[in-house]
Amino acid sequence: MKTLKRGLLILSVASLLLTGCGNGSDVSKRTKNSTKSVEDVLNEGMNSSDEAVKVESPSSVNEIVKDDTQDEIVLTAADLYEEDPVEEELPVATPAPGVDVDLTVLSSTMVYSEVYNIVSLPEEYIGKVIKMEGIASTYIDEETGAIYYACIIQDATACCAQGIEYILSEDETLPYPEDGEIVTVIGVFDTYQEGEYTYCTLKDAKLVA
Amino acid sequence: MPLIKAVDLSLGYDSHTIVENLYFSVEAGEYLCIVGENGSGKSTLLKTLLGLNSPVGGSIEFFEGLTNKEIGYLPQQTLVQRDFPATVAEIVLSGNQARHRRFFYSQEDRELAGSNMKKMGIYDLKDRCYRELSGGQQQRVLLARALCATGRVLVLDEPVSGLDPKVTMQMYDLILNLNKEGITIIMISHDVNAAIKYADHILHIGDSIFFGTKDEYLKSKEGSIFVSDSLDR
Amino acid sequence: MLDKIFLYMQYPFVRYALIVGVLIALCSSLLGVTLVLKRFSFIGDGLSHVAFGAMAIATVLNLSNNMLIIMPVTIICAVLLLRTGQNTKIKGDAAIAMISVAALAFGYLIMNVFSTSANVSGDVCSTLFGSTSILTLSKVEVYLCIILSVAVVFIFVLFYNRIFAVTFDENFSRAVGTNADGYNLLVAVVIAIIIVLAMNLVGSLLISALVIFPALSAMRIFKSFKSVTVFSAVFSVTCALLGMMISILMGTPVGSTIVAVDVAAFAICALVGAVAK
Repeated sequence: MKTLKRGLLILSVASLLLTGCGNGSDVSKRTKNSTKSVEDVLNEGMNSSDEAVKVESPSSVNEIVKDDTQDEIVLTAADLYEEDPVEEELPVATPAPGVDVDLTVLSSTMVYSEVYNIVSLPEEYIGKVIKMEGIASTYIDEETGAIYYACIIQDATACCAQGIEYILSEDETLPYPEDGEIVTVIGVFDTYQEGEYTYCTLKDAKLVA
Repeated sequence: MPLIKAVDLSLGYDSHTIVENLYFSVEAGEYLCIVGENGSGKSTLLKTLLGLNSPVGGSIEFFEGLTNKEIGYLPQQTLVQRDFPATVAEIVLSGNQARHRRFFYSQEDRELAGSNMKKMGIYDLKDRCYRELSGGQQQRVLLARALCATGRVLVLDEPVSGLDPKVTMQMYDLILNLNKEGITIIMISHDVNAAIKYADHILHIGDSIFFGTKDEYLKSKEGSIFVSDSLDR
Repeated sequence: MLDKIFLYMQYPFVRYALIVGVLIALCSSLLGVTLVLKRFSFIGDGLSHVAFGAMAIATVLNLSNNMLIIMPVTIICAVLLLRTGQNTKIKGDAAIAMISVAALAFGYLIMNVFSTSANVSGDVCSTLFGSTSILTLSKVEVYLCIILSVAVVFIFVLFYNRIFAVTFDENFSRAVGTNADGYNLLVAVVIAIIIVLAMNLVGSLLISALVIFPALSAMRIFKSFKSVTVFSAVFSVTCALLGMMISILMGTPVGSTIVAVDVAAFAICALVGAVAK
């Protein structure tokens, strides 16, 4: 799974999957371009069943983690970071210092606006640690078979959605969450080029319970 | 020497002609009343006089340095004005827009507006809201505004419509006083009796056209029919 | 509460939004009285839909600055609508209704069929209801909004007396030689600019509210044109600020929150007006 980690900003997946209002043209473009072979379809099926199987154990793991650190959720995050050589010096405490952009303390209008700004001016945010809470979403590129994981944030009307893709750190013990789950992600913002588009991603991401 | 002279004037909208072969002239200090049935073209004549419409044929000429921009105008009230939030002073002051092209009013403009409000007996109402005034008071406000725009010629479009008889009389007296001060009056009216009482010249437009002094009008065919008509009513 | 406001203030886009929002609210309130009394409020509404249609085209063409298309198209339509209003082959309000629904329909259609944007629903939603657009302005848009708003305020102040005279009595102004058609044209152009600006603040469906409520509220209480104008401006700016603060703090959509505040404030003004009488 982790070898498939690639970056993608998933805007349209969100509007398509989560709100149903509007037309996810980005997705449809990708689908149009790809020629679906039987193998692909099978792979897809495999992937999703894979996912489904995986979820059963994670949920229990999740609970255990929660129980252990009920009072010190933040510490868990800090621990995770300390293990990470790159982010070694980041101190973490409420409201999450060491996190440059903490979206979890903002109102929904603000969250949406800030994510919009991140996505429209990504170069100003590169290297910053972003903490965000949103709905987990996966997207499979049918052409390459690559799977992208994104954290989706909706605006106040729940009509427009913005999302940022994330790649879990190698040290992350938790598996990728299931679609539709509410997740909190902390990661280092970065952009990369794929084809003619620039995509945003949170690399070395941690999941916070 | 006339102030205003119409020669072979034809009036109408677009290419549709309402009135043809209109000849009349107004001298300084005269009081002309334009009478006629509804739809006979009185208002169109007025608009042409003011330069709001152009004539279909013929011409209106101005003399002694008068232009149609220097004619003070008392229009009929519009729907817009009925709920317009404006004070009497603001409205009267706006009459000064005719006097210069500057964007802001000067002290001189304010003094002129003040003296015209006093002349019309509405100075104590100057901070009142226009829409709260009675019909007669509103007409005085518009008259004061027209006086700010001109000291020479006033054109009045049905100045007493909608007023009760007592206020109507006061309004006519006010207009007559202005005429006595030397201001030329051109007034449209339904009220032929008032026209005969106050005006010195009558222009009757309709199926047939009459222009002349009041006395000539009373003796004329148009006048006798129209006057007796309105007396019957 | 206060520390939360303080926290949000540190975001540059919040500061920009407040500045631009206040300016837009200010200039949209100025011509409110003229619009209401000259029966132009529907023109405002129709133009906002035209602006939406233009916006759709601009989005499809993938322009870096949408206003380059939206502004001229809206201004041209404003001028055309004003002309049809006078020269009535098709009755003025029918023409407006026609243009506005057509623009709305084609706008949405174009966006759906040709859009290259990844977030059609987001674009539509934000453009129609202004859920967050004021918070997501680019730097260029911020500067453009500030320049245009200042220009509108300047024009209004400069032409205040003439606009009053022409609004109160167009025929009289015309008769004494004021170029009433010129001023009507000016008003139409300014309205078009205001609408394009206000689309950023409240979205195109809610623009009329921003234009009408301040004027109507002021007319309940005040009696002179000057006091009505000044109060409209204060009313509009206050409501916009309050609405933006509420929406940022509570997470409600910006446009509708501002309009809701406007409605509430109108109710208060109506009450005050009734009691004063």
